[in-house]
Amino acid sequence: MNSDAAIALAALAETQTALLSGVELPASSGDAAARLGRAAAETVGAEAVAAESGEVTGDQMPAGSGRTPQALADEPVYDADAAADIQGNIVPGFNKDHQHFLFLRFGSIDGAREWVGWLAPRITAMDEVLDFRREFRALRLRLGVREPGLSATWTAVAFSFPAIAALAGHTDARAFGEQSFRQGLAERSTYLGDPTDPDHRGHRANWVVGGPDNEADALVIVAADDPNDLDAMVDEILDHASAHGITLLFGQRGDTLPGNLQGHEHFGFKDGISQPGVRGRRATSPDDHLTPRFLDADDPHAELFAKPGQPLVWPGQFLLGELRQHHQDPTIPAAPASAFPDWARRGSYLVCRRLHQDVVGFWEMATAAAAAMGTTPVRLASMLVGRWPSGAPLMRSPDADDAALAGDEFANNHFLFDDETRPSALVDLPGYPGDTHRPATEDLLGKVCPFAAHIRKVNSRDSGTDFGAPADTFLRLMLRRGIPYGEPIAGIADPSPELETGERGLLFAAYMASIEDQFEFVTRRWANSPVQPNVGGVDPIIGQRDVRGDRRRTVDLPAADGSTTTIELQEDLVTPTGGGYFFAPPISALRGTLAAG
Amino acid sequence: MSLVGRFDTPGSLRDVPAGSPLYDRWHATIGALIAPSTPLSGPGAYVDPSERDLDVTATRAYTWTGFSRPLLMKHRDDRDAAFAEGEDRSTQIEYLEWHVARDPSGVIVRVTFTTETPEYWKALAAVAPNRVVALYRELVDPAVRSKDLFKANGRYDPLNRWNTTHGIVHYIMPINSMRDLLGVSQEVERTGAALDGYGALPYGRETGADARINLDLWSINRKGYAVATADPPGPLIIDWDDSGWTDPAGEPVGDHWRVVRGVRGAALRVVYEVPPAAGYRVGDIRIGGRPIAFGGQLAEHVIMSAHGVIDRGAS
Ligand code: HEM
Repeated sequence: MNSDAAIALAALAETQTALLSGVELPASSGDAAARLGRAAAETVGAEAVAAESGEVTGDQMPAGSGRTPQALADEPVYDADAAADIQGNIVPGFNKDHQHFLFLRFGSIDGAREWVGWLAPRITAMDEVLDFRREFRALRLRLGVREPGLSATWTAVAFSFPAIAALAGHTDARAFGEQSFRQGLAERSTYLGDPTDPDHRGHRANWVVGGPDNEADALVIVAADDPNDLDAMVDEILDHASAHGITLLFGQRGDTLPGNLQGHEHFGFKDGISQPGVRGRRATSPDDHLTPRFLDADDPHAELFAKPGQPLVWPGQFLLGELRQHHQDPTIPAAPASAFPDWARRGSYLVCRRLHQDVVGFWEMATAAAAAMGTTPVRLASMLVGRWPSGAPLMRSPDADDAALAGDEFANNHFLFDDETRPSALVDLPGYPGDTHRPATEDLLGKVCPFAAHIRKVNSRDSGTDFGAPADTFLRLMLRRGIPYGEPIAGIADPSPELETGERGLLFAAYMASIEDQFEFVTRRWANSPVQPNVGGVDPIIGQRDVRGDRRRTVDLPAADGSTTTIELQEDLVTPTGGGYFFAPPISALRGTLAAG
Repeated sequence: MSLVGRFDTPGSLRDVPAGSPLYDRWHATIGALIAPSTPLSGPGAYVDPSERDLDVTATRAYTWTGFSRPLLMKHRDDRDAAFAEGEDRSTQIEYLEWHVARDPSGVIVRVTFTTETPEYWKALAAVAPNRVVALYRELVDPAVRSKDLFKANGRYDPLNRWNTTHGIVHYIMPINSMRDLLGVSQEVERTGAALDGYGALPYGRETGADARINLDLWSINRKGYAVATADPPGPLIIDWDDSGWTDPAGEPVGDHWRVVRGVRGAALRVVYEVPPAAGYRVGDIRIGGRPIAFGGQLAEHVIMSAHGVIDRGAS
């Protein structure tokens, strides 16, 4: 590794995020602890990362607040049965610091069915995760500590198309209209830009799992606050699997990065900041929204956003059979999807990609490009992502990282690209001084945040795209549930040669109602395209070009003098090494059709 | 002095020799479609670059997808239905039209894409009818006869068989035209009050092309900038993406795109056809593992563009 890159990589350890303190986020009014049925453990819960970084899903709004949030009349209400049916990693997401992804292959079909039946009561529902979050926050406020010592171990499951066909029969399997799911990831691989050269490490034939010969039937995701709990649950699941003739094709442990880099991906950047907010609420009370609402009804965009920068999306974009997003008007729902068997209602497709990251290569590239452009490696790398390592968006802090901005969950995602971003009217938030950070100014021409920057490629927010007005972009959003795997190198001074070449990357996981219209659309049409949604090169993080084996890519970056420099990226810095397309059924189907046949 | 002296022909084609009246007529045709100055949203304006002096400080390519967005939205749960319906030229609404040629067994052997406007061909027919016949023979079929293209009164017939059932030369879908492209470019933001792209919602038009052009131009105008069409005006094919397209052996397909009019990156007419030596047909290709049964499956990977110039100093 060259020395400038080494310095930039080591300096990531200093990345600061100044979390909001003393802010009273809306607290629970319910008896969540009682319903939770799980005592607060004495162990230190690590859920705080999620809660602090804005994952506050499941809280209720304060009663008697002077200002009120907005909900649309048609938003669905989930009764207890429904809330116990939806898998909790879909909504609101596990977001735990330690997770294990188990890729399994069935043996006899009877054994598989029995095992599914055994697993069913162990799968965590939406209700449980929402309650946990609420209780966690309530405890935190009550005890006045960041980590109130509440911990949990949660499990999710999803099946490939062949597995669904085996468990539920071919007639039911054929009822799944999603062609990409039926084909599977391996068959779609080169369509996603993956290498066509069989000698390339990223070629599907070389994947650790999910290639043509090693596709998994099931993917089990176990998530826990405590690594010991995680291991215990994984062992139990694997023991039962093997007793039922099921083999582990591949297992991948994922962990959040340590220290200041908690919640960051391996290149060193804070991840998981921007997520769509799912519309709808639980039946428990009128303000028990799946996504807490912080915009006051007076805000001009109150019907569209839960929180500044967090778009509200109709649940049918993530859960089959629910009302979907309308393609022109975000405030009215469109009819639910219909192409699935009855028992699959409220299930979701799960895309998993094991993406190897060449962290040293990334920082070497950033260092070389920075030198060519007369800027610093960290600024250049931040231009490729669209955010600084702390998570502070370039749009609001063009010249330097900003720890306070990064830690302010009402500001760190509040920006548009094409027009000036106006202040939001928020509900009363005791202790919150308001968004006092520099507002984002318009960047219609991509002079601040390059068009190719990862976050601008995959979510162009207020801009028109090659496929419509911003209303269309809501149709492309997905629920990202990934976690890094492998030993970190970001923030390490003088890494050993073994560490430099170590195996690490992102276990990308995302839930959605259409693989083709969401994950594949964003990947192929935006990330991989030099001209979509805007001319300006490919997404330097995940964009792949494979023009008959030629994998060179270019990115246009704005220079200080207003000109544009085109940088050629010689190598892939992110390489697919496994994964699969799965379907995460509703929990009722695990007890019913899938276990019984 | 104005930025543009005389609007150039699409793709700067020289179908007739310099000095032909076509060039002035074409300029007049375009000029008639652009108002001197139209404020679209906020303090800026869409202006006629042949009447306005512009200090071009930025350029912009407005890009969109060639296959009909309305069809994909209508058939969200059944893409094959969208592609099947997309074979009808009247649904090819994104300023890209195509003609599919099949062999006797029904397998696709060639897909021809065009971005050419009826206005241009009418202008050409008015000044050089023989040249039009010659071009049709070259582009579509040597069997084309003058009487196939011209009515008894001598008027050019845009809906002639070589541009409909038996081939393609230019747009016939009623809202694909230079008039429509420049018309939508001058469309005023509906609410008159949008401060950003979300404020412009709900947005009524379903095509990707309209949305792309409207949303971008409105935002440019809100900055107080003057914006105009680049010269020559008109829709182009800026790119295509055939990654993940495989031949019957599962290998990546060769480069089978042939630009017949225009150039790569700014094409007006493109033919997709597999050379006989390759030993397979277009219909034998799979896109992401799915066999090609409709031209629209290719159109989905054809990327369109229109180009603009921006003067950030003036409004
Ligand atoms: C190793 C691969 C990847 C890395 C290092 C990476 C990194 C990041 C980072 C640092 C952010 C900013 C944090 C945030 O806004 O939440 C982000 C956001 C995002 N990423 Fe990735 N990512 C990777 C793969 C992917 C893939 C495969 C996709 C989907 C095709 C994807 C889609 C997104 C989306 C949708 C956002 C949020 C954008 C927004 O709403 O502003 N990422 N990613």
